[in-house]
Amino acid sequence: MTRQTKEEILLGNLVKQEIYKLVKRPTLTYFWGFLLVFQIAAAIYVSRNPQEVNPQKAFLGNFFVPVMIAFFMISLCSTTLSTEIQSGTLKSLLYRKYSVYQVLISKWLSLLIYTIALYVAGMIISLVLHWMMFQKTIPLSVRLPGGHSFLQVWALTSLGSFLSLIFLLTFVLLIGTLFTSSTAALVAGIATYFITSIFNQLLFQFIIQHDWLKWTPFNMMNIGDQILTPSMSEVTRLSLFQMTVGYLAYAVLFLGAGLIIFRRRNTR
Amino acid sequence: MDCGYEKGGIGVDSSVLSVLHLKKSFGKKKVLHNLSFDLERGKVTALIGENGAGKTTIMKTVLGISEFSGSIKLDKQSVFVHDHRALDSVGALIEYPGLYGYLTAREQLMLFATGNDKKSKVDDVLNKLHMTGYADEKTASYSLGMRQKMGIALALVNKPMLVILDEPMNGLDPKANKELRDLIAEEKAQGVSFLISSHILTELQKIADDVIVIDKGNLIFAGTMSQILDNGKHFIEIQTDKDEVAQQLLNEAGYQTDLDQGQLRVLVKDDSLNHLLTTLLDQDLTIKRIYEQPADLETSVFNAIGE
Repeated sequence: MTRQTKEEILLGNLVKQEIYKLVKRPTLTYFWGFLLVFQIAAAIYVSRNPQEVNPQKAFLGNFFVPVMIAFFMISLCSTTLSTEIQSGTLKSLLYRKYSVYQVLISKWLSLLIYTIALYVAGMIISLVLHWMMFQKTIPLSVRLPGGHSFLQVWALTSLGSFLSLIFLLTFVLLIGTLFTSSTAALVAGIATYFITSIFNQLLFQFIIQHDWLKWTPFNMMNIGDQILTPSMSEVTRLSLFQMTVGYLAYAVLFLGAGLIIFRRRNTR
Repeated sequence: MDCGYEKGGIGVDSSVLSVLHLKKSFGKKKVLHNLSFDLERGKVTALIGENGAGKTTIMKTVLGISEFSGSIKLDKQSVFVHDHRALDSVGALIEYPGLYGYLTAREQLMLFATGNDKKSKVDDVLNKLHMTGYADEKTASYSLGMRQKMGIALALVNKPMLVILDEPMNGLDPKANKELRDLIAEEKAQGVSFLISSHILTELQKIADDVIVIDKGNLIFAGTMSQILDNGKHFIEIQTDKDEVAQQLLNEAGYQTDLDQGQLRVLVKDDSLNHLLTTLLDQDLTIKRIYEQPADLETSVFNAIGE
């Protein structure tokens, strides 16, 4: 067995352990229940009040569930290290045969898998709710002005919001390596969400005045929208390729900085 | 200063751990000064020193969670902060046991167990530590002693070659202490080595074969338990008809004495009592009783660090 294969097996074991811990945490179990109830309640409200909330927009946005997932994952990612520090478990993870990098990367991978699972669950529930309540009002096979079917637009919208969330989470994970207190980490994580949301809305106006702002991480968060609507490049001032490169470069930068900080803080 | 590595040489085959020129600083403050010692395979080694002497730092460097300079080899394989492969057969409990309160002891041990025989490893360690009665309860409800046992179970679950325990007796009642001593003896008989730090020196004296004494980051002593206990120093308890006069005479003769509640203790540095007895008998004192009291580990450690 090559060294690389052994390392992959070690990382795989760690990811399994991390996922097991996530699955067994009671608050996370409750969140799955909350998510289901929230989505059903939102769909019922939309079906009964179509004049207040556009059912098509609500379905495209998976009945607002991505916002709930974003808040939840931001709180989970920002506190994943601080909770282990506070309970004293982080140390026992580090003095095993796994390197400090493997320990942190396994945590990140498990959180990525968990986010994917939440998104996929949210999308499946949306489809079920569509089948139960909106079959007539939202025909999925209908072609929309961009040439995509409604189903395709829904999938691309979901992908876009997922990519934006993952990008935000890379920064939140970096923040998470800086704090030993869960409260401080949580406040910093949630603040990041709001600051990013506010700044992103103002960004396009600023880009007109200051062209260099198109290279900021805030603009990269629009990658999902640009995949769905290529004409977005007129306001983001970046091609999809440039945006993809920027997205990946910033993600690597945030995670790389997180790894360095984590190692320095835990091997002093 | 006696350094244990002189017994067998650095990195000899019988060494499970070989530490060579270990240095460690926090900023400008040096906390470990060029330490070298070996741990023999199948032996229990006590790591002793005051708070802040550097015991936990040594353990952390051996476990690759603290940067250091020098060389640390576990079974001939080097330990680095960025490469922990040498720790494959090491179990440890450092400072206090970190537990996931939402998991049961069994679940947590299963989580940390490796290999294809996880279940038998977990059952085995639960039995050895007499934890089966509460193994399926969430660890959040555990008492301090139960948590400590759980920490020890986590250190032992993968049948390691070397076990590093930092203050393992913390929070254990006398019965649990004895169980731990018995367990360590059982594991040792199977070839497992232990590096244990504790402030409860009476417990260490019962289980340790070798002793390492650290003071302010310096290696003061590394040798066998009998070497540090004997070391040519032991106490004599004497009862005379005039204890206060006897104490004054002995002090004048250069002996270190202690008179407490009618008991005169004298530190004797060689095997002969002739000089001591002559000092008292020449002054017509009557010696009523005389006992030899071998120095305990605590006294021996104080002697070693010169206090």
